[in-house]
Amino acid sequence: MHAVSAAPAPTRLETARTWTGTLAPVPRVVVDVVLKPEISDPQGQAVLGALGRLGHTGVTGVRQGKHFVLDVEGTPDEAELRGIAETLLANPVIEDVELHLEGA
Amino acid sequence: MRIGVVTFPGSLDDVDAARAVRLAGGEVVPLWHADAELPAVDAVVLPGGFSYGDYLRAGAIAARQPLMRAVVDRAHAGMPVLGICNGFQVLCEAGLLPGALTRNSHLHFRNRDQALQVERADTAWTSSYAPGQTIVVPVKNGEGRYVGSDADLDRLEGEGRVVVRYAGGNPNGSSRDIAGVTSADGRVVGLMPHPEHAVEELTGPSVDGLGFFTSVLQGALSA
Repeated sequence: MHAVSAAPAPTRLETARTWTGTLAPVPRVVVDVVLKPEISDPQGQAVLGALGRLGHTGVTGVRQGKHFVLDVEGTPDEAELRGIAETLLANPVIEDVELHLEGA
Repeated sequence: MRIGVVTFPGSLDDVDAARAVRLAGGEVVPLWHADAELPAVDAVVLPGGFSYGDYLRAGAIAARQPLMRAVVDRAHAGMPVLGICNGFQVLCEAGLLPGALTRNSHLHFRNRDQALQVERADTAWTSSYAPGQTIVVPVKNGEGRYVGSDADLDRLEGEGRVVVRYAGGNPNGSSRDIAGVTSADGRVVGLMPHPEHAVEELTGPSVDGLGFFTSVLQGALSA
């Protein structure tokens, strides 16, 4: 008897990736959210401080934000997605939002 | 007077808020965030806590729950609403109050007894106080820094919409020491500190917080 191949079984995530790859591509929408320039970002400043202590003195500013990846069924409705981004994913009082459509 | 106290998944201070309402002499109506309809209540309190784990942004998901739509509609019709801590964050996210609350400037959770100066003693929730009165109630938050653009803050100050301001030290870096604000009609009030934790000598640093709850009851009697 030969030893069974030691190749690991695909994880659920890898299986899902294969399926989405071999079936129809799923349109993907990326939404980036970052605090407006006039709102101070203490988390970004903490990262900047750490970079300085690590010797990366060439980095002079850090703004920390959020990155959303939305898989969308069918043809993405840009107006609807912009509404989602601007009314739920970001708070327009303090945050700027950018929408990127990929594979649409 | 029937005062609704909303419980969201992750609310922590709904029991204390209900207790404060009872100590002030009101009848508590427990409300659940997923209910589509708001029963017959004369006012609503949104308590502190971490609704939906503060995911996305503090208060963001709670503000879009079915019951909150009904609360927003009734608030526009004049029903008094008080948002405490996470409840204040929910009111800002729901658009009932201006501005936003974000990460404390020092990045630490701050938990202490806090002096506040009452700037507006004529809102639905602060009429039991005297203008300029100093009160002491607990404050406890990690995302309690009140922010807005300079133009928006100037407008708020010009309209007299700051209800309470931090005194003796700002616990979270809030712009202009703002601890709480009100709607234009003075019926909706939100603040980060916790008046519901200061309603009995045994458990609080003072009983200064009780005035928020007696105010709304007195307002109903005189209306």
